[in-house]
Amino acid sequence: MKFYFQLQQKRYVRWITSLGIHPIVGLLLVLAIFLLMSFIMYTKTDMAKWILPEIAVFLLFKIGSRKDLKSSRAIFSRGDFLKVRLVENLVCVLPFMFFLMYKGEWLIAPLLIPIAGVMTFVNFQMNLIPAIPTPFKKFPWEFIAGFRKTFWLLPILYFVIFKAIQVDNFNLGLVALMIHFFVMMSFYMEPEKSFFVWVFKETPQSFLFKKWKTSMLCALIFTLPAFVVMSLFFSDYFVFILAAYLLGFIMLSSVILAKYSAYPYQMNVPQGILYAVSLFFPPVLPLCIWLFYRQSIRSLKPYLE
Amino acid sequence: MIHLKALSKSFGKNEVLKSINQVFEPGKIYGIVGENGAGKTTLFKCIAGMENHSGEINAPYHPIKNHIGFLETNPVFMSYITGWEYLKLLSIARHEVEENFEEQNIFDLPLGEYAENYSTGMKKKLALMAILLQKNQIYILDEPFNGVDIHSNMIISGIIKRLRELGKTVLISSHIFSSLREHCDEILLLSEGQFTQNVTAESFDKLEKEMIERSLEASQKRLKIG
Repeated sequence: MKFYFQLQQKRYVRWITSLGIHPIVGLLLVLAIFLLMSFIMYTKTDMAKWILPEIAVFLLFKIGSRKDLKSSRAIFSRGDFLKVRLVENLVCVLPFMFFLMYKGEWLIAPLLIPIAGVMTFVNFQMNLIPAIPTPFKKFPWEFIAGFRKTFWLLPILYFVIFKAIQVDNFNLGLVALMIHFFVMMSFYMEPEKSFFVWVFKETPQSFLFKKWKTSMLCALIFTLPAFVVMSLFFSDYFVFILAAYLLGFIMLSSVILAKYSAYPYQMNVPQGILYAVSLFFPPVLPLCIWLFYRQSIRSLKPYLE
Repeated sequence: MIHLKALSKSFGKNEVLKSINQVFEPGKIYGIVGENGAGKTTLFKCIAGMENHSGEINAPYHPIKNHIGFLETNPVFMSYITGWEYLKLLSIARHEVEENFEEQNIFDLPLGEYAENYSTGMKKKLALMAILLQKNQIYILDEPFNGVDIHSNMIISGIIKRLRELGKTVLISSHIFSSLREHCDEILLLSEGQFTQNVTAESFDKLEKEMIERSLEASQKRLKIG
């Protein structure tokens, strides 16, 4: 078991080094981002004490559904496997628990421990889950796969919007609407195997255009309920909602281009920095989109021409 | 017709394909044999345009890749995608509008289930079905008989024969010699980066025996069991 965790540590070091970041710097960076985002969340909304545990549970779900668990299950005895899962789950929730304790959430914070314990026994392997019907049947595949991975988030987001309407908190509702876009962006984070680019009878330009068109159409379907509800109940802020909504579409477009600009590799530090800059300063977005587009054409050429 | 002119491919200092010259004609089935690591898959990937290479690949279709159906040795599938959705994706990719996949489900695959959870043989059958639906001119089948049950092997055999009748160019690699002998118009041995010989019906048995013996000898030298 000790060797397993040593291996996990090695994997982390290899991965972070491949991104050109020193492992310790990477760890500090993750910690800093976590603290910064948590503090910002606390200053922006009263719901932070609920949103943070939800993120922790989301992460538990993610680490409980990763593919290499299958081999871990085969290697370890049942007892050791559960111990490994428990340790991983605890490592995942502890930062959230400590932060919530620091914020004086003495009732909510300790709840994460039993949740992590229970999640140890839950099997999220996809072969146990039947194929969920999606509204994107005509448009394989990013939105179909993405929807199936994240569909459980939608009721949570709708609940947050419902609470926002109930307590008349426009900002909270807007955050929930924008989270829809962040969820959709996650559909485009992993580069597909080269076969799934090669197989397209397209030029790089038409390939990107079709990907973009499909994503925009699917994004519209994905976000329309939230957008309509927000527009109806916060009609005074309609212009803001519409502006944020359009910004979401632009952000999604740029993520698609950022993905293919790094293809066949995963989005890396340069794309990440450029993207982060554009998020904090949206006027830079058109420039980013142009740069990502040019690079995407170059990256896709070997596979499509 | 596919015309390879001085096709070469290296990985670092390792020259896998050495100036191959070969013509593959339409309406013919070509079997490519060779030991593991001989470069069969690399050759296929070069022809399909999945690997950079030196030399020329000429064909009446441009770009050639848009007319190739490539069955990989181990086809990969995305997570959370059903067999039906995979077929749809690959059809859309080649501008085919077919949707009635159930009717064309020659292997009786459970198309409503996640493709990633299919068995090895089922994955291969799904991938084969997908490239057939694309209506390609050239078919590259890398180990099509591996991991597939006897009944499906017979169906695949029938498909290959039908492709020949339709005038398609088919390249097959296989370790199952009997399958190649049954289907192929020409069998080419890839060894040390080149096609060293055209295998005739007479030399086929000898070649098969030689390859098996060589493999056994090599493994017995290295293997220490018990």
